[in-house]
Amino acid sequence: LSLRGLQQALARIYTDGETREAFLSGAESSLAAYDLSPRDLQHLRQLRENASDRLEFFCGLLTKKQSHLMQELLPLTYKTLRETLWNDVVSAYSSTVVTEAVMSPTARAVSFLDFLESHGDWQSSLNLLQRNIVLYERCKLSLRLAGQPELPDSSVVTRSENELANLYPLVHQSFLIRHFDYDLTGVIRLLNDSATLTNPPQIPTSVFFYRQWRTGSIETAKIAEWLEQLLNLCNGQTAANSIVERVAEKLAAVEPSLVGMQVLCRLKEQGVITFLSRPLCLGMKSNQ
Amino acid sequence: MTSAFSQRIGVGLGYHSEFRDGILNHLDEIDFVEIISEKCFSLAEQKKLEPITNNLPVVCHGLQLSLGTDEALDLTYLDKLAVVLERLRPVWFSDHLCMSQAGGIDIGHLAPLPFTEEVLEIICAKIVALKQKFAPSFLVENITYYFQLPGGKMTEAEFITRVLEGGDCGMLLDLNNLDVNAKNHGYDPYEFLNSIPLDRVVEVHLAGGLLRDGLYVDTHGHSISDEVWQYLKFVCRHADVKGIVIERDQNFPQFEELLTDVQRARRILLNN
Repeated sequence: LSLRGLQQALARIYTDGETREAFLSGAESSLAAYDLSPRDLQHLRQLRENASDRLEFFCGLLTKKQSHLMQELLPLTYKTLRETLWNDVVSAYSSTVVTEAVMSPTARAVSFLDFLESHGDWQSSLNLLQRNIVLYERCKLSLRLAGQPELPDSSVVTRSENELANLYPLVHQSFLIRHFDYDLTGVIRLLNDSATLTNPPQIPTSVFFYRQWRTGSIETAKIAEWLEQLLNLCNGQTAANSIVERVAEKLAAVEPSLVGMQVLCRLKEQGVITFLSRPLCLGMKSNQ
Repeated sequence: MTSAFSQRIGVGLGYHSEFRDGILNHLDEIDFVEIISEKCFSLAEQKKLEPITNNLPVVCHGLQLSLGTDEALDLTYLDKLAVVLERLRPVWFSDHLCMSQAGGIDIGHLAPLPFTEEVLEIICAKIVALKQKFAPSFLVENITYYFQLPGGKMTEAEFITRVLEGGDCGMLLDLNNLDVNAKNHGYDPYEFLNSIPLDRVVEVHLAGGLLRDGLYVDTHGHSISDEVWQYLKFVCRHADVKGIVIERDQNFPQFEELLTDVQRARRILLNN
């Protein structure tokens, strides 16, 4: 067990800034938790005496690597925080949060956003727009983490809106609707086009985050209030014609029923919803 | 060594989503792609790759087996890896001679191992188990290390040789890692190359690095150095290399620059 204890101690030293600092300064109390033989302790002391600079160099690379991985998963947060703030947060995160081996990169990115949002110092240094961007990327990652269930057995292929009336629209269980203070479509375009972002106007906007039934990819769409209501009704238990009736009064159209059905049809084509031939029973074992 | 590596697949690229269009537009100029196994654990990612994996041979390269950790292989991880290998059908798959996790902590990078008999036994047992579970076509890669862990009595070359023989597996020889280690630890890279069983080298990685704070680092974000190209010539003269991968993980250049590296590597592979 000695090697195992030594490796566990090393993993802690590499990833936990506080433990590392204590170890390099000569304190060994933090190593007491590990099953270390006198020989292991001697090896750790040799490492400290002969290679402390290189050990710190290696740990600095870990932070850089962590930062790079996070940038890939959180490109908008990275851009909106800008280099300095981003590096400060990543550095603080890397030295205080020891990530579990079972964590996927996506889960780690979510844990990073948790850290950013839950630590008062960082939270207060974010402006409203930055907080909006953080929420936006968190929603996308959360859906990715939620996994991809298979289509329910009773899902059917439809070809026209006439066939839909007595079917049961179901939006993928992996969806979120969140309200933002900015129209993020434009903001994200600006962030992707250039590193600079001048103060955009505040425009309250609802964004629908969903997983496509067909491809499993995570998509977003800006939605109006009536569409939000319609999507919330696509629960697999409400028939299409009933859904359309309930949102009809909010549709400023001559033939709201027809328009509503066309919208459902379009959502189906886009992979946002699927149709079930029978209502989804609550509590039944399904892909919900 | 087993005859699991009879097929020469040429020169390929380490896959990145940034290269997707470039690869699809130059399918006839790239012989294969190397895909990071962990990045394909999701079905959505596997589907995204289909236009490429349907048209080019694939090799899988892992980061998280943590072969040198004195803990059992992670069964959940192996299940996911099994799905990827089944779906992508790689010509071979590989991982690193390192510790990437221990005691439930993800180190987030490839950490060095002490070159001891005890670690050697652990690694060889895991390689044998992996070959039994998946396929005999498994390779291990040399990593960069910035410090040596005390306790080892072998050199890196001796350790690698013993792993290759004990696990009866192939080697993925990263020539930039060799260059970085040789410079940082002050040894002769050709002596290293002459000390390892080159007949077990199946795949070669080429990448670039830089000098940072007095140490060389394998950034995978810079051009391949002249020294590394020279090592490649040496290796191709002395080993029956089956595949070469150009790795670029950041600071992405124009795709044409990568194609130039592919062509240069192919010339060396064919002419030596």
